[in-house]
Amino acid sequence: MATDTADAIAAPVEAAAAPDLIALFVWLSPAYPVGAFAYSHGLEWAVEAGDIRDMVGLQRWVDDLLRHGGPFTDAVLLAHAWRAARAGDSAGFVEVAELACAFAPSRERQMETLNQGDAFLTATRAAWPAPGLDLLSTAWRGRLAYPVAVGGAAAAHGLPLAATLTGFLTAVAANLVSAAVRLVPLGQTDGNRALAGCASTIRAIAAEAPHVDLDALGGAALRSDIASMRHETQYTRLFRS
Amino acid sequence: MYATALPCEPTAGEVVPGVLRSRGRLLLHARFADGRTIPDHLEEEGPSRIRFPAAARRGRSLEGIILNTGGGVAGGDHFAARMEAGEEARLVLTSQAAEKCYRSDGGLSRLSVDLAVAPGASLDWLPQATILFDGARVTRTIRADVAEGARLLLVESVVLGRTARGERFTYGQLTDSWRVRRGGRLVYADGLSLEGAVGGVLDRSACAQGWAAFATALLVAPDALERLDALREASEALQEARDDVEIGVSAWDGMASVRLLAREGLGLDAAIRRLLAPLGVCDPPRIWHF
Repeated sequence: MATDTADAIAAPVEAAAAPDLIALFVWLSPAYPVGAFAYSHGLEWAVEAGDIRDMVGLQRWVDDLLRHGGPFTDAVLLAHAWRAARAGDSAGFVEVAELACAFAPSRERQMETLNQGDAFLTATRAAWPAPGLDLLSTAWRGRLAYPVAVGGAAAAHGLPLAATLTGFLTAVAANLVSAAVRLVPLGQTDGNRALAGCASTIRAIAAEAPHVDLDALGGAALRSDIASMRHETQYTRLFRS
Repeated sequence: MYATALPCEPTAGEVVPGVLRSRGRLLLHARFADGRTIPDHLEEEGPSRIRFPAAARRGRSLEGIILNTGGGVAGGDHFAARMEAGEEARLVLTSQAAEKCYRSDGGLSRLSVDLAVAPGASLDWLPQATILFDGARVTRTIRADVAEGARLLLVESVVLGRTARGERFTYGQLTDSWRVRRGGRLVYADGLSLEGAVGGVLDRSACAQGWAAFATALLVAPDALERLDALREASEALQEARDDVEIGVSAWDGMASVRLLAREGLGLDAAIRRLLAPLGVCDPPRIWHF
């Protein structure tokens, strides 16, 4: 009897500890063909302007963005897209898809999210088909912002929202760190430390983002927005944003 | 056991009853007739007024000046304005003074702006700055519906804290939500979310580096993209001349947008004045002259 009880407690814990997240790991790896490596979200200008000179400055900048910048509002959009797609709510999905397209402070920021979103959907429909994915493209015929594409695809594959948000924010932070490692430049170890230093913020934002209404969507990263605008005329550029 | 406050004194956390709060409302429709723009429908409620000084009339455009006879916005006040420019009308709207939002006793102030621009019309929304006293709690929505081919210019500036007396905005709330549609399609959306201990957020390097004043200008117009070079030139010149402003300029999808951040209100104001011409405003509103 005692053994049975122990098994009954242990089994679900073990099962919960290993949900099937293979699709997420693949989609959010730097190898997935969305071209994430080409975008710096204005960070290239922040390095040029002297706002990011070392590991500490990098970690602060990425932390600011996770809490108050594009990655934060993207996490909110992702959560809404996931829920609408999960519920088969076409009107809700169209609302978040339209808002995500328009919610950009500059030309390059809009290009960054739409190019990655379209590329993500194309790659995912080709390699990871699911009935829910077709639903997305019939509901919304316009271009797709990156977080909306990821949220919609995750729902179509039955992937949990919390893991999707955590994975998405981690991938975005890793991409920013990787850009800074090349631009500042920083050593790989410093880059890894900066990313590890963002872990607690990623956890916090992944938990907070699903509770934000679309009407209240917003951040406070004004200097990051300005950086993305100034990047348009930056003399030497490695990145498209 | 012991009374800590007289019954007539508001206790901590008590919000002033709704009946004592200001409810301001404006509705204006402007129409183009006989070579000029005239106000053909106007409703004013509460402390909200709009005046059309003869001295401000220039050519075919109508300049309206919005007043708040209450002198400011207290916690819990609501102000709503709907401004409509009819076909071919040219409407320029500004305000008589900066809008002061006082420290809140807990209530949230709501400001809503709703703009409609009909085919062939032009609307300039150029209010003076909104100044938030430390502890103010404000939520604002800006909605605009622009007909295809019409023109809308929005310039909104915010100063956090009374910077001239060294006040900083350390706690309070400012949430701002912009949704702009052109031909029914959402083309621009923006949001600001500051709540609670906002001083620490504003200090962050990717946020405002501790600077107190910011503005966004958005031009939706058939010639918006062509204005980008002139805007960039003006923005570069400003940033070379002053070290207390940062400006970003971009243009896409028939729109031009400018983000400004300044150490305080005066620098922001100077920068906005310099950017009006490249945004297509030849002559700033008469009340801006001093």
